[in-house]
Amino acid sequence: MFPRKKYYQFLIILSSFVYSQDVYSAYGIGELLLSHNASVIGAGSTGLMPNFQKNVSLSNPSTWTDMPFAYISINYGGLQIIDKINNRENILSGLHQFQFILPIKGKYAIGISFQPYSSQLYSLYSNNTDIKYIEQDTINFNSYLNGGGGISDLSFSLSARFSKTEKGALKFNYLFGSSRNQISYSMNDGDNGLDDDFDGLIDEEGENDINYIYNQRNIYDGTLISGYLSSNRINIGKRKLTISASFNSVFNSFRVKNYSFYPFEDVNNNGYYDLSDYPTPAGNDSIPPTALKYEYKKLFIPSQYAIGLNLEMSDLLNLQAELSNWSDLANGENNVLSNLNYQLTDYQHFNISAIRFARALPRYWYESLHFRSGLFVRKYNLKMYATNETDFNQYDYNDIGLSIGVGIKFGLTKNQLDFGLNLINRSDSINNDKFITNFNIGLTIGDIWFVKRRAK
Amino acid sequence: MKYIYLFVSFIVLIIVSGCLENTVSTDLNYSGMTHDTLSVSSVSGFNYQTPPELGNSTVLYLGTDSNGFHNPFALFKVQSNSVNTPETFSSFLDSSIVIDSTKFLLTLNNDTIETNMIFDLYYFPNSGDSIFNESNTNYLNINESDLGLEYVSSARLFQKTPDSSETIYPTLSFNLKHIIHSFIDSSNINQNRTLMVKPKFELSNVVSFKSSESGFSFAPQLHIFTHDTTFIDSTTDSVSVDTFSHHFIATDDLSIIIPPDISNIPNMLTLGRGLSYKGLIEIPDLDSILSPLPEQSIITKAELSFYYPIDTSQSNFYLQLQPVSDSLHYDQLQGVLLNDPIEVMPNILPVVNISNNGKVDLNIREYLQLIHFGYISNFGLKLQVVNTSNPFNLYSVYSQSTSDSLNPKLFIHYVSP
Repeated sequence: MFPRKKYYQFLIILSSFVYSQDVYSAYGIGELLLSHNASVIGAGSTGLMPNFQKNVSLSNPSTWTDMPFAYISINYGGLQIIDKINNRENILSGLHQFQFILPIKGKYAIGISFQPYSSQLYSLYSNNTDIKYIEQDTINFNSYLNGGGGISDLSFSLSARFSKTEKGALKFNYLFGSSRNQISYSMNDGDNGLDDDFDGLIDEEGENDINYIYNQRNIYDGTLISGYLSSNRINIGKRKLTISASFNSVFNSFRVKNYSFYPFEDVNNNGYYDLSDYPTPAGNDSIPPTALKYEYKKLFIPSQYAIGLNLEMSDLLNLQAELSNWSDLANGENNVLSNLNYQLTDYQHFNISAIRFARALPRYWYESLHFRSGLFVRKYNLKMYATNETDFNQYDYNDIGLSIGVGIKFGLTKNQLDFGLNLINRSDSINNDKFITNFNIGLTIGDIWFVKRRAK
Repeated sequence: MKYIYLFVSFIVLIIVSGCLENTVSTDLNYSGMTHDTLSVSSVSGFNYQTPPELGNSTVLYLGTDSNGFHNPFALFKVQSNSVNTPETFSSFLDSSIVIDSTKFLLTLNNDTIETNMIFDLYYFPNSGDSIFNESNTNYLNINESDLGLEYVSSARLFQKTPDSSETIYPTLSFNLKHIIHSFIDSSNINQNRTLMVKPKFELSNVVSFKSSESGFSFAPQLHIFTHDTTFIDSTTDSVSVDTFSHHFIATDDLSIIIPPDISNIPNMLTLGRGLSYKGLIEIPDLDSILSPLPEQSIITKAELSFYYPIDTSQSNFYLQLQPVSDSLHYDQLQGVLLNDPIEVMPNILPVVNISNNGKVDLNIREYLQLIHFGYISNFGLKLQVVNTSNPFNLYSVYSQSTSDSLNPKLFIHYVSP
């Protein structure tokens, strides 16, 4: 038998996951993480309809009044993006959700969760070198963009059962975080026949580039509010139909404090601002002015609505469909959020899913398993701003995906270990078609609260 | 609680992570930084003249140049401390020290001996404690007849025969033992330790000697040779005699240049050390030119170009451009000015070596960047040749030409977020 201690060590070794990037995390505030847990990913949905357990979704607080126990849940996920033409792959992984949910007597529930809202980590270079002919000189320009950071989401949810069939919830999301963006703009006016970096190679690629580096830092904060309603008043024949709807909007303006640092010529090409660079950061009169500080309140105005149906085909088998639309209502002509001047303006999601829930009192081991599967399509709409808010090009890319997942129920308090997998084909006319694998693993531990213990 | 181990290991799994980054190629049009250029043609040059400033020159001149520059004499002030022994001039007041001989040495700047040249040495026993100042004495404020000079001795150039292939520079060696007491006597209130060397006869060309700025080895210097007599045993006549050579460097030295009358050439900016023609460059619209630049622009290149006639063979000289630190009144810049009224900010712009291709490109990037930062104002730029240039040459560039292509211009590259 595999000793428990070794098992933990094995898990830790396996955990040398990779953080990496793709161009999508350079759009706007970065890659949105709207599906946070393994059960949602297994169903291929946005989590509006029950998918964790029967009648319960970890992502929809209005369903939490049906939870039998208090739960602590933690989810970890990884996203792999494969560029099929260039045979390049990148992986983004990290904590997707930490959640505590406390149902109160089947009538109320409160929950606190912490999850990433968006993530930026990118390192991009231009595939379209700009050439200028200036006074008999030919100058080649190229750009490199680097960025990292993101927005975290600390949410507090309250839910209540209004009647036997209607439930509702409110969720407040406090968004906070920071990001650092860097533009490295290189100029090259030709070979000089010298080994400038003393590595034995004359005029090697990049050796004669003069790099100008511009750094920015953003600090974010804002509050969103979400409302959820669920009703299972309607039956189709003997089959119970559950309808849920949600909306999400800005509660307190999303503020962006932008610090724009003075660009510098990276004379020694080490990527950092030091005494060798121009203008010199210390020691003489050419110390550049301090960073400019701006505060924006209308750079990011997210809004989302969703509606979903769940039809109980049998006691355990459920069919679901969800439609959601996420929008950024801001005029994103300012490229403060990302150096890449793209704004993700809309994101539509539609899925149909089939879920076979575990039996409440399983007779066999496989009756302790939740099986989830689904098909989904997504459409992302982008605006690429050229110079101002009226001068932009629109561009979209589409996902079509297959989802599968399994949840393993164990223990008296219906603890659960969930796995979810999305296989997505992304049609992207600008960045080549991609194949995306989204994997998530979640562990949820239940406990009983507000129950009087018998005195020993 | 029995699941706590599983939970903890899961959290550890999340915390430990690695990093891999592959740069992705993508379309980065409009990606936040742009490059642009500015061309400025409203550049003008203005000449003004000050007396020659040769105090920090590495060479001292005597004689008359073919262009008419006259170098009548050179002045030297000797330090009171020996550079090779702990003695000072006052040490020689000790009766146990006997001065055997005293010489003042000047080293020629080239290794070819000039024949039939005799030079006279003078000193100033009654002229006060200060005869000249390296930085501001010039032909306008010093007059040989007013100095009260007294003849000391004469000397011819002498060159030792080299033992090998080493370079031996000819020297002038003046004997001044008979007047050395005026250097030693601490009670002399007129002690100035100053010497003057001038050619005995008018020289038809210029002879150059190494100055104190050329280094200790060849600096003009006074050598005093002494011996000490010491009784080894007071009961006997046994004595010890030690001989010494004490070297006193002339740390201040200056050759006086009297420039010829040269009229300024119209539409040309004339520069020269001996004539001390300097230039004042004006770019009057610079503030309005730079103000439309985005706030955090960085000047990547700024070349101020002047053109000059190639047939004047003005090659291999160095120009220095310095930002003017205060506003100017042009009516104060007429005639030969005793003192240069233009204050500058030193060490901001680099010195430029000019090659003989008819065009001078001066890098004023730092100047424009500081103006764009808002740290300095555009009061113009002072242009002059640096002190390594031949003082008897004149350098001229077009300040205004009938041909647009020969007019000075400024070309700026900048990058902006």
